[in-house]
Amino acid sequence: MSTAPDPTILIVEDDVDVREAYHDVLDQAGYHVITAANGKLALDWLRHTDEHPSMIVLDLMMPVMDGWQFRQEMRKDEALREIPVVVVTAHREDPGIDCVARLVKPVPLAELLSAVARVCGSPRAA
Amino acid sequence: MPAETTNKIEILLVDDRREDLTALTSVLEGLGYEMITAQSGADGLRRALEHDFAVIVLDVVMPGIDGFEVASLLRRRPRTAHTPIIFLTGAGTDPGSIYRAYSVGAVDYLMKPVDADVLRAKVATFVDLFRMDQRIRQQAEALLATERRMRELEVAEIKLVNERRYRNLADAIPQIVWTADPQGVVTYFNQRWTTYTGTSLAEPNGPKSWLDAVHPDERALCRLRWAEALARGTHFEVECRLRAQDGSYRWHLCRSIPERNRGGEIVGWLGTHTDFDDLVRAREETEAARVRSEMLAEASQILASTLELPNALEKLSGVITQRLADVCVIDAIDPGEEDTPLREPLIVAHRDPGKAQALEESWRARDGVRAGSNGNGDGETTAERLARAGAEPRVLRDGKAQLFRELDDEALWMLSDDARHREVLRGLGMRSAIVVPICNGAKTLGAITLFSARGRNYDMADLGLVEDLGRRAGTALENAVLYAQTERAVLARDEFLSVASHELRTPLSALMLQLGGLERTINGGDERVAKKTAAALRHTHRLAKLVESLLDVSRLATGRLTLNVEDCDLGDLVREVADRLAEEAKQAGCSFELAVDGSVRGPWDRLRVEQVVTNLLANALKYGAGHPIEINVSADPDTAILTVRDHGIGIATDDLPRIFDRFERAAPAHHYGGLGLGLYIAREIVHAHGGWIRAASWPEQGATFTVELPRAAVVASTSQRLDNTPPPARARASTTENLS
Repeated sequence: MSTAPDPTILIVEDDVDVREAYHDVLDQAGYHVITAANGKLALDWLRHTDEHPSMIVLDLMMPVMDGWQFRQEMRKDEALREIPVVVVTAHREDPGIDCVARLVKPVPLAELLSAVARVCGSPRAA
Repeated sequence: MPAETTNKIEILLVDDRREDLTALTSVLEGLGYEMITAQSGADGLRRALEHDFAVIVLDVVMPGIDGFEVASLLRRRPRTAHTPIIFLTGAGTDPGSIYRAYSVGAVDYLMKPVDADVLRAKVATFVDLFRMDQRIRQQAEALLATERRMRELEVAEIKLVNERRYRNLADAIPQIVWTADPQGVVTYFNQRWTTYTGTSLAEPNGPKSWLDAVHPDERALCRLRWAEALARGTHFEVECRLRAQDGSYRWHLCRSIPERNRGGEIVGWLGTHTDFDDLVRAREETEAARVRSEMLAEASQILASTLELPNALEKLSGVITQRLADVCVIDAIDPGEEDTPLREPLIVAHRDPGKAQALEESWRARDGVRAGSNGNGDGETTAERLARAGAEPRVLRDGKAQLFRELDDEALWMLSDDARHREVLRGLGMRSAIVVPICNGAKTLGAITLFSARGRNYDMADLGLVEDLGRRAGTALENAVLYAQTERAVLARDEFLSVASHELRTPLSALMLQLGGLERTINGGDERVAKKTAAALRHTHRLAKLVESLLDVSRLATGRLTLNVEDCDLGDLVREVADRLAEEAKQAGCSFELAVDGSVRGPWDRLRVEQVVTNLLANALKYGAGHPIEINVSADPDTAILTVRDHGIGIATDDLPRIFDRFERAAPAHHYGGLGLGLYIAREIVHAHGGWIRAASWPEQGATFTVELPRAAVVASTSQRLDNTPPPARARASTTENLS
């Protein structure tokens, strides 16, 4: 490959419609998007892949393993610890989680894109 | 009196010569006189002191005291001053001596040798005179005695009449009247005493004193006062109960005053007892009514002061044990769980706080017996006992109040759950009891049971009072139930708002992102589709804001609004919001005219203050469409001030006070839409910052909203406010004013 690959973004969100919406808009914007329905699945994938994502967009309230538990597991894993996380919450209040940015639902597209671009740069082409 | 004339007649003969005395004696002998002789003047004087002589025959010439001197001495003594004296003297007496004899008191004068007949005649004359004089004196004395007796009779009769009149009077008046001798021993009771006490002085075992009828409780005091009055001779007054013949007692005012003679000496006592029992009863009734109304007022105040019913009922039991009962037991439903059946009494209170805990323990211990399976004391069968075990007190079933004037075995049986409970009750030594329902209308919510150990037994007046208390407690309990229900409903609503708005965010997220993606995909290609997509996206944003408002309301209502305070510039913040709303302002035909007076910084929650500004500007755009909107930011050292002025429809005076309330709006909803939450949320955020918001308006001439925010940190970085009351630090009369 002569050029750098598109940044990969891992979406961790339990709601299938929201997950697909993230996928569609970020994919459309030129990012490489991987999705997981909960923290456990996301963690399994992260531990079995060599290509770590450029960032993770993390929902907090999820079944099986919620956002907080997922973040805790990440921090225990040296290989995963440094991956930047953008948290999406339903409330304005500080959820008390370590993240590079916080978005409040419903997230306007422009806000999502600008947050993603700030963390991992713009893709080559939209 | 004729009998008096037979008295012996004594004659004194004085002569120094014995033969002369003998001659005189022999002359006068046989005439019935008793003759006393003296041989000297001194002897004669002595005899004159011992006897009452009819006549004295006195020799003039005697050795020692002569006749003249004797006569002169006799005249000086009252007893002999008027006794006739006949002088005897020798022949040849000179006329001077005769004159002297008369001058010293002689009534006659005889020459010696005495002519016997003359002497006899003279003596007889004087004896007659003496007799006459004696008779006159005796008659005068007799007359005097008769007169005296007549007078005494008259006086006695007057006294008798007076006495009779006095007794008639004493019998006619409604008071008890008595008289006593100076020592206090009763000498007379009037008819009223006999009628009232059924006793009289005439009976062999009749009363010795009015004290016999005095109630034993007051007798010692009465006895003491009466003894003091007797000892000091002073007026006596005391209030006491007197026993009537039926054994009942009535209150009397007992008074007694000493009667004195002219010398000031006490000759007796006059006493009255005036019945004022009706007055005492009226006084007691009034006092009881006062205590009752005071108690009701106190109870009402306690019950109305809080919706924390268990707490209020405990205070109520305190009032009851203080004023009306030794033990108070309150059974009541839990306002929070009104459908749960009553199992245990809520409150067991004792007048003596030291005994309260032990009583409560033993009271509640009966439940152990109630739940246990062995021991069917008092001959109760197991089936009966079990049937009673789960049963609630009777009053809770039928809602009927009961008065147990006397706590006999039957009453104890009715008031207790089982044998041990009965023993607890018996051990308290209670005499009287009242059970009333705590009710609201026909609904029985509990019961109040009162026990009294001392003083009088309960009566109907007490029952009425406690029933009233039960009704008031019932109303309060019902209010508490309603309040608890309302609280639960409000909690459920806020919970629902919170969950609903949260749940709405998820599909809104998907919708917003997908519409955003669609808009980008079209990228202005098909204008119609692009326009519709933009509209859909705008509506989605509006929907998102409405959902956010609902969530804010539930946050505010449940006190979960938190502030993330940071240093902000109000001017910049307002400018940003105005820029963000520029498109909407254009569509509304408004322009923002922003004036910022320098840098206005303070410790605020940026997002929340943005929300306030957004809500105020959105409000101005909504109601002031077509006119410019003036925004002013200024400050003094303590306060940042933001004013937003529109020139729209304004707000009517009546509406001003409520525009900041939840779900309120001054303009009709069908014209202007919205949830009516913008100003409420704005006010709550401003208050949470320790600031103020107010509105001034005049109809058809727009409105001005002013926000003041403190520039010093008056709130912690997280602040919770549970109510809508303005912060106390900056008291203002009103948050709204009307300039029309």
